[in-house]
Amino acid sequence: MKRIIITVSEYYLHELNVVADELREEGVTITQLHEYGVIVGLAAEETIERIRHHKEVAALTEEKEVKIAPPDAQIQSLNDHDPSPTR
Amino acid sequence: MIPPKIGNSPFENKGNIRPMGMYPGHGYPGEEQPRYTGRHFLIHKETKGGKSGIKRVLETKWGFTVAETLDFKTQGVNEQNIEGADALIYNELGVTLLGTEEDPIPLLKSLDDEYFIAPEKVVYLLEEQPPTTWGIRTTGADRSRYTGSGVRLAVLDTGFDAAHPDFQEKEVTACSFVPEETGQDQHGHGTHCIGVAGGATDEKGQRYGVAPGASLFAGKVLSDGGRGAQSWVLNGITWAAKNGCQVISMSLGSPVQPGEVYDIAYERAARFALSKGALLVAAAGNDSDRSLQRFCPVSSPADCPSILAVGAVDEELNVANFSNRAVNPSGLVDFVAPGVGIHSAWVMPTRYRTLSGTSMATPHVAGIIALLWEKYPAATPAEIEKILRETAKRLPIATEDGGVGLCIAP
Repeated sequence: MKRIIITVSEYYLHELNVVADELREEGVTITQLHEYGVIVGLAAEETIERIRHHKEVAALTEEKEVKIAPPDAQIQSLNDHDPSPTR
Repeated sequence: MIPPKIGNSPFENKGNIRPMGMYPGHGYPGEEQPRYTGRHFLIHKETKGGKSGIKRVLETKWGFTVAETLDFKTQGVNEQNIEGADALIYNELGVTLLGTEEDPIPLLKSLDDEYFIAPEKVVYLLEEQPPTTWGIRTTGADRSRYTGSGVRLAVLDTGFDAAHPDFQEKEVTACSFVPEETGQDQHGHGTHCIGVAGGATDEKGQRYGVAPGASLFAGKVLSDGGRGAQSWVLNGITWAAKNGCQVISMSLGSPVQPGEVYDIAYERAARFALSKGALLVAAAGNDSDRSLQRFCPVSSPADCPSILAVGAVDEELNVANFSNRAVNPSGLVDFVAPGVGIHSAWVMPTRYRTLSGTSMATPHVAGIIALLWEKYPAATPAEIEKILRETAKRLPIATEDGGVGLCIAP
């Protein structure tokens, strides 16, 4: 099961609860439903592939992690990975 | 030697007030801080020139008693020791102090062309300015008459140290979105950021907060270990927006790759917050290393169109080495703010720390936005953003690094 963030298309915001019910029927466990059309939940890989291209789904991403540097770091970096340099 | 007239009564030396001319005597009558003592310096045009000549002229032609600094060797010159003298020659400097009330012009005319006259100035202690961090000074927050009073400012971070002495008089509403952790900050980052945005002065009286009058909302969206889930941030944004916060400050993010588009969920949450009357600011990110020619894209959520991305500058107003760049066309840098060597609060018992990062720059802008909301309470978020852009100080920094420029307090 992966933690996912679904952004519902603006065209379907007026029936957000109906969309949420349909997603639950597809196998999504909804943990958070925001009135502005963002749904946080858990779903299996197969479910994700199935719902990703539904017309009500404007975007579906795996939940990102946000970070800051450890407390003793002098530069309070947002993350401590080594990003690839730009071209 | 006549004493210098440096007194503070308005009509100094009433009987001998000189007419205003090339060499004003005591400043303007009524002036409480006279500019000149009434005495004059006779200055040789070359430093070491003419010293024996001047002594001879002063003594023989003008009947002056002349003292010289040579007479003092290692002992310091104090006028008390030369009370009977009419002039003092500074042998090493080619300068002579004329300690009489004689009009120096005739004297000057009797010398050859090699001298000029200058009035002796009164010197004063410089007026002491209350100390502030360089960030407060450079953004002009110390000169603003606004404090963010009546404005709700949210900082979404590691929470807030409710035991910090500098915040005991302040209104801080805390809420945790981190499972199994309270709003109490055990990391420090959140306290530092909320200090910059809405702190006041430290134990030495140094001001470090931009909007000390703002009503503070500390949303804990990052754990005490400094990590968080995106959904916690979404929860924090929603909470702040629904609680009437007009500024939401986020010194956090996730790295973004070149070519990556902004996160739609964050953008949707940001638009919701805007619709509720809030402006959002987020850190552009510190992944770059300009000394190695490494330029990383603006982090998420700062790269969202509806969120203002803040880069960092140092005290010389150069872009900080680590400050990210607008590598992706949708992830622009909007502004820069002080972000190097920023002194602010930290969790007790450490109490204060000086840190660098776009994390420190972001709450400077958040505080300035709070000041703007106090100044223009009836404005829309779009109008406040417009004013922020129009009043930003343009810097000789590329837009991709510095946006419009340095945010300035109203």
